[in-house]
Amino acid sequence: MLALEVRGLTKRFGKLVAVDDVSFGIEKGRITGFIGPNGAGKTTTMRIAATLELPDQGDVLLDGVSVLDDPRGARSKLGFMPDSYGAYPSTTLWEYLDFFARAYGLSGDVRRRRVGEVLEFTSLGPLREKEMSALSKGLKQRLCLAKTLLHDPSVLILDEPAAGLDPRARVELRELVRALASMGKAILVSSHILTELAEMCDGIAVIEAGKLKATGSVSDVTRGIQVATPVFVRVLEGPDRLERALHELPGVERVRREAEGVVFEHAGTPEALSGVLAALVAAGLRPVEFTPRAMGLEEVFLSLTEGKMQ
Amino acid sequence: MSARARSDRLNPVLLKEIRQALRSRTFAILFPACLAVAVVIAVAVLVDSSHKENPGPDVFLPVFVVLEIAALGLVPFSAFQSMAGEWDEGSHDLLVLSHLSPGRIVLGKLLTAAVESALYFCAFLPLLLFTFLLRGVDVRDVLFLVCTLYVASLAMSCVALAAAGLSRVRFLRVVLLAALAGLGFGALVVGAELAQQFVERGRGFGSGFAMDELLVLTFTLIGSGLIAFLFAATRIAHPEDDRSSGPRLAFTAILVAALAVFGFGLVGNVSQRDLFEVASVMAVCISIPAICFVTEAEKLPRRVRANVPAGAVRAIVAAPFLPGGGRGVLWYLLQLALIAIWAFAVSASVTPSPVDNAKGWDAEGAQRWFTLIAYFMVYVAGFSLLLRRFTEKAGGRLIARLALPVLALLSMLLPALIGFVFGIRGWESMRHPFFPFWTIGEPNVRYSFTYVSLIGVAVLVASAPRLARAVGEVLAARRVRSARALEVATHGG
Repeated sequence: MLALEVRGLTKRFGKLVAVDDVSFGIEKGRITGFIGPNGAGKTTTMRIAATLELPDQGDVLLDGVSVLDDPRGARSKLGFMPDSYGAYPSTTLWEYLDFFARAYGLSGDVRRRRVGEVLEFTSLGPLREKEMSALSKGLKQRLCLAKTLLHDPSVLILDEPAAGLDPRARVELRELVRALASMGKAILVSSHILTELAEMCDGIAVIEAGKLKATGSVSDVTRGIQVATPVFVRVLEGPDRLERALHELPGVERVRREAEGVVFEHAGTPEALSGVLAALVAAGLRPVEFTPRAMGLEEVFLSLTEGKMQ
Repeated sequence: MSARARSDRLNPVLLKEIRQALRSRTFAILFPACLAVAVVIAVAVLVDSSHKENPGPDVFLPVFVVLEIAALGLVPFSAFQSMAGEWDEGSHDLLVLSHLSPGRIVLGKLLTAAVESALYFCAFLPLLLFTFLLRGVDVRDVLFLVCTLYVASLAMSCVALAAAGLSRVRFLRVVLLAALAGLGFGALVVGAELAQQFVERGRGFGSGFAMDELLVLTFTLIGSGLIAFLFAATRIAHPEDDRSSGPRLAFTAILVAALAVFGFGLVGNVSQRDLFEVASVMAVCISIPAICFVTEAEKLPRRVRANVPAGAVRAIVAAPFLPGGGRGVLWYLLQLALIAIWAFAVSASVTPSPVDNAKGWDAEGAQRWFTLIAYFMVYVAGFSLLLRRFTEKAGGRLIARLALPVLALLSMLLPALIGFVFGIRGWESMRHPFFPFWTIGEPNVRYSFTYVSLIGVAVLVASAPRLARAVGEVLAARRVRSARALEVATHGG
């Protein structure tokens, strides 16, 4: 069973269709990156899944519990970290977590132990008596994540958790998210930093103008859209001869210079590609580098989306 | 039970807010400042009044006014800021996602206001009681005024919480805060006047104390506080949650309590005309929330549909209290019926009076009652029927709610205007059947009674399909729920 299942979700704001028949799912222990330009419908989808907005059509199931029919039941399965989180002035970290633990119905030793556990997990233990207002953005994000984990939810929805963080804080957050996935939690995370997501996520869901453009593992999505493989070649004879030789070979397209070598695109089979290498050698060229390049998440994103704004 | 175990039972919002308040500078500065101002004023007035035989009232009043400023100004302002902060800091979503119900969130804020207010009262009470030793002030009056002010402070805090939840737009909240300040100032003036009457003009417990006035005051404070509390809780609830049943039940409870209190006071002691006036005022009061209920979207919200009572009889009984415009009309009819039954019961006790010769129900009295209910039917149920198609969206509902009283007013003014323009005899002077003050005031005008009754019956007939759909939807939801429960029981989910 999928831990998070989005079924035919549609949400309109007046004439604007913010989310248009979006469906995807996440299994336990998997991290899915939710990618899309600003205004694509990411936050709306996440807020619907978090029971904070209502869809016009469709439903979201959290561990099989409908967010529409049983929002209370769904909330007990869910940990939601919004892009803007509440910080209470004049409150220490421990008091903040203690308050939310109480709000989630935890009491007595269970509550105290759980607050201690999440503080330790997020490495905030030494700062427990520090006031929230004195925390950096990265520490606040970690605190918000700690709050999200208090009731031990099975599904985590993280809306732009890495926004505004410095590189070290981003790396630390990524490690925390990976650790949570290894505990069996299903995680949906949105971010604009695609390299960040590429290193963190098992799968992606790409959304633009409310419509889901692609969903699945990064390699599946790449295979689905990649019609030609870019290949970087460098030969001892220099790029001029290489470029001329490549232009004469069948199946080779879009030849262009890059650094000391040449990049070309090839849409054929791996056997045909090895034939290109053999032909270059046969032409008297001595290759020192012949590297087919996989598409990065940024290329996938750019290939799938058209930069449509709503 | 240990202190730790006791703290588990506390409202989490109360605990959090108290922790925050203990560290905040605002309270740490304002609390001693208020106390210092009160002490300085008390000493100054005492020195100034030292030649008087009974300087108690002179000292009591300014100290009481300072306490009023704290209780009706600072404490509600703090409650307002606390609720507004939840929107501004973005913590509202996090609270809603927790296991705290909207009612518990608002209750936590209210309890915080109660504690804050109690601290002011504890600090001021010795000062106020000291005026008893100065002579001229009855200790019972002091305690009564302090208790009343405390209740008023809680009611005002409820209003502040409701006002803070009214808008998420900061500019509008500033406007609301200004309105709240105006209300607080008004309450302060009324409170000061009441205190003056008690301690200076001898209307306190010692002499001339009016129990019925106290009853009305207490009822007004608790009633308005309860309504504001429910409103605040409704504002932070999810739109698909049941935001209507609580207020409907509360208003019914308030009406029943009011009927019981007034009935107790009026039995055997009122004329038919006075009874009619009291009932009319109650019907007008209950029509105000009814305007909101009859203009709700017709359909049951999905989350409510999944939780309608399982039994058919219970579902039918619950129908008037469930969200939906049609069910709002049912609720309104129920309230009017309660008022009519109450009036009938009280009027049965009325003895013939030499002044208006009233003696229970007669044809004229019945006609007047029937006309009154017909008018309310037209104004609330009839006009809401016309505006029903606007109520599916929030903006439309707001327009419909504003339009209802406007339409009622127009129905009174337009015939007079038409009469004036077209020269219809009598109408130009507001003596037409659509002007209730004339029709009810002149019950002998038979044709008016006939017109109004016919329109009332027509509205009821036109509303019948709406009412049937309103109940039918509840019963259908009940059937779906029963079928699902059976399915779960049979197949184990």
